[in-house]
Amino acid sequence: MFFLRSRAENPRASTLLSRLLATCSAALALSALCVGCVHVKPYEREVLSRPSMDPTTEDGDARFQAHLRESREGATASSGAAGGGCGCN
Amino acid sequence: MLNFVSFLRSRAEKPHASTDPNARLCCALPALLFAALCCLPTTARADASSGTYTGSVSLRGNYYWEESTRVVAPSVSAALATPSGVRLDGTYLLDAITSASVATGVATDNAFTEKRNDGQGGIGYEFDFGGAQLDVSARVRMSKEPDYVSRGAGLSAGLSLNQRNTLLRFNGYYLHDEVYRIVRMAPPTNQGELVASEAQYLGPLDVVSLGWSWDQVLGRQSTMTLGYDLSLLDGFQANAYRVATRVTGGPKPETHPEQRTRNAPYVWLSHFVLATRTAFRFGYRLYRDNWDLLAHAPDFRIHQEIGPYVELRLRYRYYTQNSSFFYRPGPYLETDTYVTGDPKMRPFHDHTAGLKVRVSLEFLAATHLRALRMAVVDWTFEYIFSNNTYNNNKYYDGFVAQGGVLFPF
Repeated sequence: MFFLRSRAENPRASTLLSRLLATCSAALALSALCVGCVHVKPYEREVLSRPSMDPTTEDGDARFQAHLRESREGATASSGAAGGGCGCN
Repeated sequence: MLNFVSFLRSRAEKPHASTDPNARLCCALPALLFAALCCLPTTARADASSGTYTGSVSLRGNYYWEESTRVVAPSVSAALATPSGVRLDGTYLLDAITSASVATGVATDNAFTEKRNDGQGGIGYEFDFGGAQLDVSARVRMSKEPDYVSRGAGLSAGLSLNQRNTLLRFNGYYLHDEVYRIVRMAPPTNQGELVASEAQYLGPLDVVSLGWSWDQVLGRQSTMTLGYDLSLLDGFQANAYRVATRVTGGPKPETHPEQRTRNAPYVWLSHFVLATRTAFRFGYRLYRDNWDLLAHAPDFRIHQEIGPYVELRLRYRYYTQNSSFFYRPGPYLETDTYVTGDPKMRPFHDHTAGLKVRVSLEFLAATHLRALRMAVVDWTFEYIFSNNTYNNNKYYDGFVAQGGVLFPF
């Protein structure tokens, strides 16, 4: 698999990737602990349902901005590839 | 994975198979899922009690400016939830890109306008198991412009646990792009008009994206999201038009590695302060790929409610990255395998400052315009300060303006 080959050819990237995965795993475990501690009942979530706490209210903006970032930044959103005509890639 | 991608590529290279399989996939996937979902027994749904259809229609206008490029992109979206719980949504976006950048295939100083049509649709359904809910959805997308065609399809699943205090989401997406090159030149007889050449096929790009995220309620006023995205890219990833300068031998077309593995863990924390009716949201995204590109992007937002109808959002985002392993600040050597003229491969950083105003039109309820009382309008303005430059040493600043109106029904 090409990405495994690439990692083998680049030990520094491989080490960093391993650290990333370890960090994510630790964060995941921490989150799992949180689940057991927190229980907010549905009728207690009035605040969480406000538009300012709902990230989906920004979906309309975010989609276009993500497309722009693909043309400006090397670390584009990992959800796909950039288009070509705008010089995006 | 490579075998899978190679298999898809070999199919794409066959005559009559370059578009048909993907087109069939794009059409068949939502149709099959829709048919399957329509056959399911109806469980308790939010809309099932009223037996009505609910949804929304959204109209948006987007504008982007930078030194050599302007983008005007109107879009329309619609979402519908049926009484049986099936959700449908679709978006159409038209990108009108006006550019004089050499990176878009212009061989003279003349600007030209190119249009990109982008359509996507999705279908979803939530299964309620009492103690847990499983939400499954499928999405297809197609984007087409004269020199770039992109088709994609994906599936996602969300598992809600603990009375929806916890949401685990998984998604997978496959994208197949076809890259072409069109050179636009002004003929000697009319220097004010650009004439485009025939599209020359340069190759495909296949992308497989996988992601998971964890949404967790931390309290009555706090939430957290933790996620990780992985993308595997295989194919043409350079720009079809850009060239790199060399010490000898003149400019050379940009050549990037064909494989790329992108990793991006991220976190979002949100907290609402009741006393001031202010929401604070902080996000951080780390990015690393096998081109040795490392990037950090912290993002801070403050949402302030003003009265019953208005919300103001201030945003600051910082972005910094190093260079890819094949980037050279000076001209490339004859022996360099990969060459680039891409500003995104350089080390640089950006500051983004933004303002958004969101207004609920509920105050129209007592007027003749009460039909609009459920609508919401918003305006967004952002400026990107960058220390990155083009080859002509102009700063790569950008400006974004967006406006939209949402009509729920």
